[in-house]
Order: sequence, then C-alpha cells, then structure tokens
Amino acid sequence: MRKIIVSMNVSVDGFIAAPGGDLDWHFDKWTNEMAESLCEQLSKADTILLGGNTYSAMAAYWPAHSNDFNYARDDIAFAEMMNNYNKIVVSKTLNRLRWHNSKLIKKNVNGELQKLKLLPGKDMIIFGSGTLVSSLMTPGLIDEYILWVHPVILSGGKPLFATLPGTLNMRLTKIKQFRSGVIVLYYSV
Amino acid sequence: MRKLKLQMQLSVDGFVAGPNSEMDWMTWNWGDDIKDYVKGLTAPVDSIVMGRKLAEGFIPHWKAYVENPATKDEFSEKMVTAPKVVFTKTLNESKWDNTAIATGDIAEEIQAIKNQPGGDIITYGGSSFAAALIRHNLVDEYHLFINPAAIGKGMAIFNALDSRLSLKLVEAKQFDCGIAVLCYKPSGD
Repeated sequence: MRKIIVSMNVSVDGFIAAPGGDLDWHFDKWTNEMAESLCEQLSKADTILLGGNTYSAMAAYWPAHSNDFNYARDDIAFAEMMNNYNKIVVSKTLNRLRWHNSKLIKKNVNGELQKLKLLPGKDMIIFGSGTLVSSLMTPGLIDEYILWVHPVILSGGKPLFATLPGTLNMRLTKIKQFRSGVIVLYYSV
Repeated sequence: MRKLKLQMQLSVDGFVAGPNSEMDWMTWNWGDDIKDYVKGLTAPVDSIVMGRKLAEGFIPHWKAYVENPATKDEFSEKMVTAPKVVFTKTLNESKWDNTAIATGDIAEEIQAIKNQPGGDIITYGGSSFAAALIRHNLVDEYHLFINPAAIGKGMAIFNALDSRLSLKLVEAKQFDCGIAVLCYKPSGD
C-alpha cells in the first residue's frame, strides 16, 4: 500500500514555525547537500500532498523557477519535479488551482486519502502543511516522518505534534547529518 | 573554565516527561553502544548539579543502588561519590551526604562552581531546574537523548526563553535501541 510521508523542518524543541508564523530560522540553512537529499526523497514519491497555505506559497514560487538559469542544477531538477508531480491540495477555501497538475480535496479528507493509498503508485509526500499534518495524526494516516532538525531552540510557535491524542511510538530508521548542522531523523510509524 | 553538560531524555517533540511526570514513553532497553556513550560523557564529571525536586528521588535512588551488590556499578558509584549541589529556595541545609545546597541566584551560583578548579559538571534536571539553566544560557553542552516517541504535551525545558537560542551541532549519533543523541553547544550568535 502507498505510504504518506511527512517531510518537515522542525526546531530542536519541536516547532515548525516560530511565534508569528516566522519561517526565517530554517531558510538560511539550505544547502546543495540538502537539496540533493530532498530530491532523493521526492524521487520515491509520485504525488505531493499539500495544505492550502503551503500550496499557495509554493504555487507562487516554483513555476517561475524551473527556467531560472541562475539556479544550481539540483535546484532546477527539484523545481521540475515540484512542477510536474501530481499535487493534491486539501482545502475548504481554495477554489482555483493555478499550478500545473493539481487536484483539490474539499471534504471527506480521510476517506479520500485512504482511497488514494489503495491505488497503485509510489508514495505520497507532504511538505510544510502544518495544519493538514496535524489533522492527519488522529486517524493515523501518516506512515513516516522525516524531520529536518535545525540547530535552533525557538521556545514557542506552532508545534508539530500538539494534536496527538496520546503517545505515538515510532521506529528510528536512519539519521543524516549535514555540514550546516541540520540533522534529519527518519521515523516510521 | 569548567563546562556544564546537560544530559536529558526527550520525546521527539521536545518534552522531558508527560504532563504528570509520565516516563512510560521512554526507551530503556539500552545496548552497549549507548551505555558506552554515557560512560564517555560521565568519565570527566566530578560535580553534579540538580534541582531540589529531582534530588529528593535521585540521591536516595543511587545510594540504594550502590548499597545493593546486584546493582552496584561504575555509574552508580559515580552518582554517589561525585560531590553534588542541590539548588533550592526552600531548604536551609543539605540533608544528604556529599551534597551542598545553593540558595542564591542561579547564574551566580553556577558561575561560582564553574570558576572553581575541577572537571566537568553535569545536570540531569529536573525540568524546572533545566529550564532555568537554559533560560540563563548556562549550559555549555547539550546531550539530548531523543527517544523515538512523540507525546503531544508534557513538561518542557525549552519554553522559558525570551528569544530563540541558536545552537551549533557537535555530533549526532544513532543507537540500536532507537534513541538518537544530538549534542549541541550554544552557538554564540
């Protein structure tokens, strides 16, 4: 069965955004090494699942960047994947999807995602989309977490796991270390 | 100057215990790999600092371990023989062997200990003591034992900061039992 994989930037203390929704704390750590790793993760999937806010931010950015010759080769490859992959957007409020290859789910989210998991295909990956990820925790729809732990303590903000109904026991499958000080923890549920 | 090391078990979402001090989510089937890591961390230690609440359990616990031939070992002996300092606002004198009390301002007391000649200082908590040390940026090395479980809510050590704290990764290690140890220093940024 296809898996739903969540790939998320987090602080050491478990926040995905600083107070006020700030994401600047993880932007300056982006390196080619990390882009390569992200490309590798993306190549195991064929579908990107996104919440409404992340979708809108990405749809405004990626289509313009696959033609940017100032971009490093890995970034262009990543931009190509982002643009060409199937995108499934979970949103009650969005109506018009301007990004290539996008489909909308407005209701019965759990049911629709269960159906998608049963279809043949590669895994589905979720980037960002904190609200969507939180909503998928209780029905247990997430199969793997890839946590990019940035070397910062935010002390507050939007926590990743706050909506858990109880303890979530996971299995650590591997860790990766980047020169930037970012550690990636790979967990399967 | 001596360095203060913090060694604590954390959930993936940054908690050191459940809301009612639950520890049932922690991984305890430690292999030789992680035990060796702790040995290496503890060997240069000749002073243990802790909060009063932790001391009430910690000090008798290790004393009993050393008095029982079945459990006495290198680590338990170090926990008993290393001079301890218990930080308290309520006690007037120490009720334990080999243990002094510190009743003044935490930063001044810790600085005074660091200024004395000696080896490394270590703390294992408790949570409010650790939070105070972190808030005053008194920890020189963090050894965070990330257990493969998320608990959603619980006792935090990183939530008392006025602003974010940048860290520098020293190393990250994966252990057979599923714990990932992340070692950081404050980055001074």
